[in-house]
Amino acid sequence: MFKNCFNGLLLMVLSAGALADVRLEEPWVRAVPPVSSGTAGYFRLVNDTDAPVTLTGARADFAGHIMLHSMAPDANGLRRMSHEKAVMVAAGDTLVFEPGARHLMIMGLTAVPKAGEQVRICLEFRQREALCVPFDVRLGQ
Amino acid sequence: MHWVRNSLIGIVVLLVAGTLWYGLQDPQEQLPVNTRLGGEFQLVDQHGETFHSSSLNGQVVLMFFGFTHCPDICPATMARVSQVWRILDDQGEGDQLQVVFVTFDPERDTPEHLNKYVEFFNAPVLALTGTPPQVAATAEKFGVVYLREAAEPGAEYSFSHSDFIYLLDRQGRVRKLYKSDEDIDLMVQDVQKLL
Repeated sequence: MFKNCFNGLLLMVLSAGALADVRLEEPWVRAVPPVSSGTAGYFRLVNDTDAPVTLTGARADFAGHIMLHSMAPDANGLRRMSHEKAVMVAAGDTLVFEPGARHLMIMGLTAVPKAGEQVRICLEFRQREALCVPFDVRLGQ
Repeated sequence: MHWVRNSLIGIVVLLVAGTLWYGLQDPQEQLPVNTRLGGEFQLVDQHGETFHSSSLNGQVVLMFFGFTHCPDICPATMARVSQVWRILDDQGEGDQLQVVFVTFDPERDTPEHLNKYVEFFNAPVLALTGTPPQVAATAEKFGVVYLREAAEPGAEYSFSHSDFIYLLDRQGRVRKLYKSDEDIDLMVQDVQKLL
């Protein structure tokens, strides 16, 4: 009986370890007119580990260049974009990329993604291997 | 305690009276004319033809200034105002609203490029460009601010910019400014007040 309890406990601990990871939730890319040279990508980056991770960039086959961009209105109401070379996500935190704010600036499109498709984007980190996931392409308002 | 009760009754009466007064107002008066923004302008449309703002008279207009290389705010805002048009069109009022996109990037946004760009939004969008002085003069009339940002290595130049949507009445007067992520139903209601 004690052996079964121990095995169960061990399984729970191992499962919890497997779940504790860095993951992306609701990744999507904005469908844009076919003549566009760029688009934007959005997601929630969840850091379920017990250590910080640093997002340093992104890459995709369909784009020449992807940057992490923050965007916020300045004192004059101008929306100013700025390139972020790295963004840290503290242990247990979630980093949000969303329309009108921080986003992936996807430039130099070699193929413009169409609504309904999925495109693969790899996010690069300082402390770990790249996370490559499919992003839904959809019309966003 | 009477004064508390009387005060509450007074507040309720004022609220009801205020609501009734607002509701009985001419709907158009709920959208006061902005006398500081707007005015006549001349640009070039997506077919390469000279366009004068007087051509818009008789229609209610939702106008947005942006640039086609903008990946986030501009396509999102154009999708929203185009949705306003589609809702009105479903109610048989689409021909009374003109959606207008004005670029402040005439260097890249040629008429041909604009024409292909606006086709995407499933609404009859009027796209306008012009010479840099024409565009600058128009933007100034509407208080639009845009600053060209130097290109980073491997990237194209971009703009920091204001991002209001302008509601114009049938006489071309500015009646309201919306933030770019304004509620679509509110814009529909406001347009209908001006029809």
